[in-house]
Amino acid sequence: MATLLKARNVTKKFAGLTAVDSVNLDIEEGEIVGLIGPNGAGKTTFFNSITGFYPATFGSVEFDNHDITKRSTFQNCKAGMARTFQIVQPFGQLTSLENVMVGAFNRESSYSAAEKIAREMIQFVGMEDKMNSIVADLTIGDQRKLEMARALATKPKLLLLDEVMAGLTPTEIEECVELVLKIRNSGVTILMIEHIMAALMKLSDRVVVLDHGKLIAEGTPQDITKNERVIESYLGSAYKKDIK
Amino acid sequence: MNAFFQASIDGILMGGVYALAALGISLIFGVMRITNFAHGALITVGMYVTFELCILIGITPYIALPIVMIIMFIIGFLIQKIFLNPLMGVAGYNQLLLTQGLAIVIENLILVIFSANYKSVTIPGFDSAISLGALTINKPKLVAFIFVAAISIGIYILLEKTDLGRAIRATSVQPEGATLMGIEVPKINQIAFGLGIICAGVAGALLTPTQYIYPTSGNSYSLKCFVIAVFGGLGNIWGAIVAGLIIGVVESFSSLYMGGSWSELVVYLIFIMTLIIKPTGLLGKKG
Amino acid sequence: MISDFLKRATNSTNNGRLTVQQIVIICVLSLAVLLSPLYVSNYRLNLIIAILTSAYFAQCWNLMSGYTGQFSFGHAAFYGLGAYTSSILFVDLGINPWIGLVLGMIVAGLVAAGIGYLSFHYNLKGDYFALATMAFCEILRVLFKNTKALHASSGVSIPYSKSIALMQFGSKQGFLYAAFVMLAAITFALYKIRRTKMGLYFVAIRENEDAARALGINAFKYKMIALIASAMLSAIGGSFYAQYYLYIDPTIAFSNTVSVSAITPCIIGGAGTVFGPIIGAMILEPISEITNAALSNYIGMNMVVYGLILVIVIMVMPKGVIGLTKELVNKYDKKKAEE
Repeated sequence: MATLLKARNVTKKFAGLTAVDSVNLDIEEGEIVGLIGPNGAGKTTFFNSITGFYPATFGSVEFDNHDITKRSTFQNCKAGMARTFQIVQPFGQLTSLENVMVGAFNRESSYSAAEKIAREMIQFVGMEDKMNSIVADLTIGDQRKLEMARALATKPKLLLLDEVMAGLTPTEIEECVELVLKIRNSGVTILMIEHIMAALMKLSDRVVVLDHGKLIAEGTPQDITKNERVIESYLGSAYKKDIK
Repeated sequence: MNAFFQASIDGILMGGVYALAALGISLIFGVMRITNFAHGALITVGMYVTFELCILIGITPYIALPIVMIIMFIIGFLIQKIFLNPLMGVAGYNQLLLTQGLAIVIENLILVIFSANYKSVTIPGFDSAISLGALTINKPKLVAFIFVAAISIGIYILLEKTDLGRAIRATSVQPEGATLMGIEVPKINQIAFGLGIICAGVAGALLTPTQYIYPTSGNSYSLKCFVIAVFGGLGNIWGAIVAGLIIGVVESFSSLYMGGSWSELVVYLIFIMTLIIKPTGLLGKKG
Repeated sequence: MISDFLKRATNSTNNGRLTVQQIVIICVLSLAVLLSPLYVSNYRLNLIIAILTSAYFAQCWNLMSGYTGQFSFGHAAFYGLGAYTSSILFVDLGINPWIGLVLGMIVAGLVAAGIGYLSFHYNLKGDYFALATMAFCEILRVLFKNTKALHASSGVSIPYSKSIALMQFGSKQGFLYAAFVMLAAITFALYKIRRTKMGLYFVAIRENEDAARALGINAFKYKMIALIASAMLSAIGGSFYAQYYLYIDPTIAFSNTVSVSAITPCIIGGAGTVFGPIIGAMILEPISEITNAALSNYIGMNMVVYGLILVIVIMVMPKGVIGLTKELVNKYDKKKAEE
């Protein structure tokens, strides 16, 4: 399988503070990679660095065999990288359909074609009954699903999910797990930050762990749960609780 | 060479008054994130209040100053309480427009009440200038500068050394956190707005001996004060003072070397440069 | 019955199509304007022209600030450039105002490109952007006031003629129809653009610029397009103004009052909506006219009322007449459903 994303020595500094420290990461096509670590470990900053929100201070990022280190966010999206946000970022006063259409216009210029894609994506995440609702009025769970639909509508190769399960009910989490698998089966590679361990371990082919900006472990979910360092810095009691 | 020193002196003295007015804008923005477009109109109010006190009671603007401060504080307090408080947390441009609407109302109410006639205040013994060799120092401007310095220090002590000041600073850093600490944020906002308006009013009062008073006479200071507040770093009180003095001197020099009508242009260009290069201002944090 | 009518009349999610009620309102109003010379005195036509031109200018502002969310406080800059370009070229060089109008659009567009590049490239937002636009407008005022070749502070007087070839429409009626066409065209364009990729991109940038960028939108490019288009359209309004009143000077053309006059109708009617600016102008202009006449003994009182309207609207209905109507109808519906 081909390597889709190659991050080399990605480092991001803010006024003396190193939020992401020389992270190397390869993602193969078709994988689901889980990214975990304690709060403040630099997970979201790493997302922001590779998507071009705040370009990395050092290091390089290669995506789909192109160097994208210096590219801006919208160019990365055009190249096939889409993301969701830790705190949902909806177009609040627009309808669900319009929200997803904004994403669909990434590949389509005609209004009717974009509308068609958007409808399909909304169906894909199971929200067809809320097609014309104003998004600000939806629940957080629905807004998160919609944000995934919106990202998928850009037709990405790589989808970065930033804690899409936070704040969801157990039933919603189950639905969300199904949804992520469905997305992967449709041919999209996934890198996901998640604190809901049971779900993450079930989904991921591979898990990488960040702590204080450094990548401290990488491996299959089974390996990671046995890794002393990971248990010490992160999983600890939280994981035991989750497992039962 | 004399012209150079003369321009420096005039610039610094004028800059002091700018600094005080801009300090008000910066304080209000720092605490409430509101860009107060009514500031110029409230400078005019300060001028008219002073003028009326001088005429009615027969006192000089300097004696009237404490009364002006009280009246301006009440006006500011009420504006915040009645108009701005209900809008806290709403989309920013609404507050901008609201203060613009208030500016229109205030300016034209003055026109209705006082007519467009020019008025002026003269203080016996203050119409002459102090001579220092070839240099002259305008007495009212010198006195104004001293008052500005005193009031700035007063505001500094209030903000840094008193409980009220600590509450204001806490609110400016983190309104939610301040609420949790038991600070009544709306009340603090009202007081801060009142303080900001005192600055506008006092600047107006101190300008009365050297400037004609008419319904739009504060307006020419309005954008200039924004320039200074942004140049110094919005929300940064020392920044406003330093920037005020700089802008005063720059204006005075560009007036000397380029002619008075172009000096405004220099000031606005500094403004645009600031916004582009370092929008957090001279003394602000890194952009 | 009334609530149902209002609901359909304010509906904006009807898949972008106008409801029957909206079409009826548009036809009635258009006819009222087009036939007004038949039943309104020549003097009163001034008011209708004022409504049309003020709505037109507010639509220009609506494009960049209402739709795209970039709040301009210096739209007089573009209005003034349009007014000045056509006037000076005509008076000094004898260039036909129609050509001047096009050149004015180009000048305003270029200046807007400069302002936009500096502002958007360096990511000025919110109050900072508003202040920057205001400062650029002031810079133009100072430049025009102090430049002899631009007639300095004495301004430009345009000779009266009756020729459409010289962009004077012969009579009040002529100006009325011209203003109607301008307003109809810009409103139609704003209505249509909302249902295109570009229109949706504009609105997306207003709603959430970070999300927009993550979805492949070149926010810089689209903000530039909105600003330049808005500036060029404003310039047309400025040329029209100069040809109608036959005089401009720097304090009229580049004043804060003009910049505010682009904003107010839009806010009162409902910013970011297609018909908001028209509704706003229909409310504001007659009130100005009435207070002007009724309070003529108290100079300034009409402006006090104008300012108060602005203040009250922002406090009571920050989403304008359209937003408020929608809210009221929703509430009424809910109440009815509960019964």
